[in-house]
Amino acid sequence: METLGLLGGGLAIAVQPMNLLFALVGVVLGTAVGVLPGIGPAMTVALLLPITFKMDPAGSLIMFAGIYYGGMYGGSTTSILLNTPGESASIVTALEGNRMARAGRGGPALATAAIGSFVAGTIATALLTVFAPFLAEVAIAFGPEDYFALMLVALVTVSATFGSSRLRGLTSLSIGLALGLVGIDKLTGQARLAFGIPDLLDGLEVTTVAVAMFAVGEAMAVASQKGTAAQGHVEAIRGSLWMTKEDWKRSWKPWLRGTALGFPIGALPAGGAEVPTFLSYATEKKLSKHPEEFGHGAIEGVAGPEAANNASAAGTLVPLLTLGIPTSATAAIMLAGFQQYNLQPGPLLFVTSADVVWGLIASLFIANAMLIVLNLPLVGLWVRLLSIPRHWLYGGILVFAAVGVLAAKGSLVELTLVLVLGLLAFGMRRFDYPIAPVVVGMILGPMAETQLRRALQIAGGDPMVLVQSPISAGLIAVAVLALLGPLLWARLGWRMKSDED
Amino acid sequence: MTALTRREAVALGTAILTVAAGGSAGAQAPAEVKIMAPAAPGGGWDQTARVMQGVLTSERIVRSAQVTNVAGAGGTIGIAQFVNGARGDPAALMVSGFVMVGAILMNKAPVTLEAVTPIARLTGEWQALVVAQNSPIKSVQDLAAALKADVAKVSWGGGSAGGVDHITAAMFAGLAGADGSKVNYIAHSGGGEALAAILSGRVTVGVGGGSEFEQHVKGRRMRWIGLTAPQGTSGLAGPTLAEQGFKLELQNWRSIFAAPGISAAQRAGLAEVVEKMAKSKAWADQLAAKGWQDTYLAGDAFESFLKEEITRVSGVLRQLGLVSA
Amino acid sequence: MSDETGPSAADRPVIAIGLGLIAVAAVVVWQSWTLRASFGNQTLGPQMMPFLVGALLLLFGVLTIIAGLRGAAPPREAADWTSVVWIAGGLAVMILLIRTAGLIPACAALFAATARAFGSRRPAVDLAIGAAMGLVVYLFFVRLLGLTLPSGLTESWI
Repeated sequence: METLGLLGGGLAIAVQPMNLLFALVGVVLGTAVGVLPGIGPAMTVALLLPITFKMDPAGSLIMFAGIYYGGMYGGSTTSILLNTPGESASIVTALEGNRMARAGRGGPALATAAIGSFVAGTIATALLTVFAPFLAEVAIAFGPEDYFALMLVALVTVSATFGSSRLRGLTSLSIGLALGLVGIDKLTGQARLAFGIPDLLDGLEVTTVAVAMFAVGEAMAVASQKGTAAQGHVEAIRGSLWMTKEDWKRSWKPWLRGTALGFPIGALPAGGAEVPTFLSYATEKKLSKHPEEFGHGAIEGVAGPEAANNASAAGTLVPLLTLGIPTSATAAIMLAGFQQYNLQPGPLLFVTSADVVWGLIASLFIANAMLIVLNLPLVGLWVRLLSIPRHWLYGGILVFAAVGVLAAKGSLVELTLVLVLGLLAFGMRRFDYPIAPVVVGMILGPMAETQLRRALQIAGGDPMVLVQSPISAGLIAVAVLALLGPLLWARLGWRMKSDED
Repeated sequence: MTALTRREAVALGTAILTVAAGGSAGAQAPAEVKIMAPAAPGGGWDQTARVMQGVLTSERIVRSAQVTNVAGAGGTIGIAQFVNGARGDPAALMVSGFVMVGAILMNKAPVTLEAVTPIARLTGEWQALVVAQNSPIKSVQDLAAALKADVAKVSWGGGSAGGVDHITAAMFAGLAGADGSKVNYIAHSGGGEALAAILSGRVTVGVGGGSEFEQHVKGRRMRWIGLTAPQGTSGLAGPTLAEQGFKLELQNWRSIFAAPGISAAQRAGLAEVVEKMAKSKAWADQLAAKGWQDTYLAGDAFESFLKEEITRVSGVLRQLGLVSA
Repeated sequence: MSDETGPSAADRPVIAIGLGLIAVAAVVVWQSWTLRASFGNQTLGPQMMPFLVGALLLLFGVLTIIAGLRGAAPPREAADWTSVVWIAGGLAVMILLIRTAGLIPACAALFAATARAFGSRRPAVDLAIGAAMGLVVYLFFVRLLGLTLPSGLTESWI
């Protein structure tokens, strides 16, 4: 009850006209900046934070929340419409979202992303207010062996969703794992596969790889098949601009499941925002009544991951607010935002500055609501972007992609990588190799490797550590089942079939 | 917004007047500066550059200050670009720090800190060793004894391999009479991951910047083993290692450098600009807000400090096998 | 699939892909050969993952070659290579132009080359639109927000 009172107090501050104006400015600025693929919500806030220096704390935090959610929203919009996912958490959104947009269903895709984000953000914020201290304790008890097992589950379940051929899917995944090796090894500080190029020492930027593989590779593939124009044909609107009853029916469960995956994994200090989106995608494909639509624009594949992404962002607030542990780039920037006003998040924050915490939570809520109110009417306008002539649309996408890559890392080596990886992606598309596993392998591979080696290093080399923790033992069992289950079923099915023959 | 712009315009006008009137003989203070942060927006070096930008302009020490970011490889990409692109430019400055010393050695970077012109050390943070509240290790003596008994059994949680935390751990192990190269150091990428490992007691001991841990010690979830400040430093949150018999002094410092190939007068001018900034109240306020220590050091003293640090860091990294001898 | 079409001729491009994968595997392992755990007691050193990835690539390379010999690849349409060259060339020209002529001409070149790949025949209009996009990006992100993007001659005039 007390928390409700405090939240109410926060809301009362947030709805003052001046603060609403700040939220509006933040949301608009954030969306505008966030549309460039290389600039995710964290960088958007880092760039715009100086603007808020001279304002009073309440107004500044509110604007900050607006920028943050606006940046996130801008990122999903370009993922869906232009197939240029700028950051790892919106890659999955592009998979189905862009297919939908190309089939004239960009409106429902944007709407389910926006409403899903709102629903997930709201539920996750509510969970945050109630469970934060408890959840934080559970989260820090998660050790490297548990993370390794979680990454394993993600790798195995996601691998099951790859395209038509198991061999080609796994080959793509291995290429991704190889790309993930590039750069300094985290645990020993030694360079791997850097070929003496300093720009490769930090590893490949997810933005660079995602933009090259998705946007550039696809532009090349579409341009090369001029004969069959229907393949690359883009239709801005077909059917309803809004979500139909059927869309709602197919969206609400993925929203909730995405939230259920995103919030707890986001609360884990090394959970990351990508893992829940991958898991959500795999789950939705498994549970969908229309699994054949996946890869061709299934609305569940947008609704679930977008909700998971937003819920995990709220989840990162758990360790930040209760323990003072920044677990993501975004959380680190939030910390900087707090420090601007001499506030130190941590175990004492809820006690010493309860009003600020609740003010922030209230403003996240307001920013989220404002985005919905502002953007749903704009969906029609956004979608019409797709009706500009095809040669200009792709020209614009490529310029955006290239500049976005430079924004994430302003080096010409990155652009050269875009060219090389774009050609690779074109070749892969031509020979029907799926693209998504490359990005999945590149993101999950290093995470799994680091956690495994860390676990063994702490345990003095004893591999039993992997099965001694109940969490990791359980998760590894899930991974093994997910891996062997289908194989066993397939074998069984094949036997039965051959018996029939 | 309009009010802001107007105020800025007035400030700008006054700044031009001040610059035109001021400036001591001999030193050529630039009217505008370009500060490179050899890191992405948001990190420590970037924040240093942006705070400098704010103070330099708000205090009207220069007319304008511009920040550019060149991220990558611990700053070694930035310094290479700085040396090539800004040679002889009397308005160019670059933020650097302890981390770059190690990164240059480990990445075998072709351009080193010897290629740039040192101006001053600006801020620093003392390193700290901590344990979880319920750890069986209660004191620095306990930790030293455990290391001496079996250095491999003591796991350390901190930042990147070969970074300032790793170096602190190796140096402490050496002081405790153990083989520093055998330190079981578990590298973490972000501050958050390492904090979680320390809080949960998964690693025996944590190492990092003192300010990261202060809240957790206050919240009775962690215990100080000691800070790497010299004995008798005032205003510290915890005890120093030195006063407990382990003379380990190490700060994670940030400094400012100028371009190569500038004249002595131009260098003196930049030094003057930086000193004015470092002595201003606005700078002190900003440091207090950020929790940074003012460890300003300029001139010859800074140059010899820099030489000593490079020698010290390369010695430890060689011992760890991260830099070939 | 091969069952329906019967045993078909070996698919040379697919065999080439398999050989390419084996070559990548070789590079990964060769580049990681000298990696060793440098300090502390690391059971699995930095070479573990590269070796594993190398082994996977080798395995899939071999399997791909086998698939290629069987001719089991899905049918491919004839590709229009000039379009791909236009886009790749656009990116290459952009890389050359950014630090010399500048970001804005580089954006114009990429935009026009891509539009050409998609069949546009009005290069002047395309160049103008691309340059306008570059200008907007430059003014908003570099000038207004202070983002650092590589730039050249054109930007120094603005």
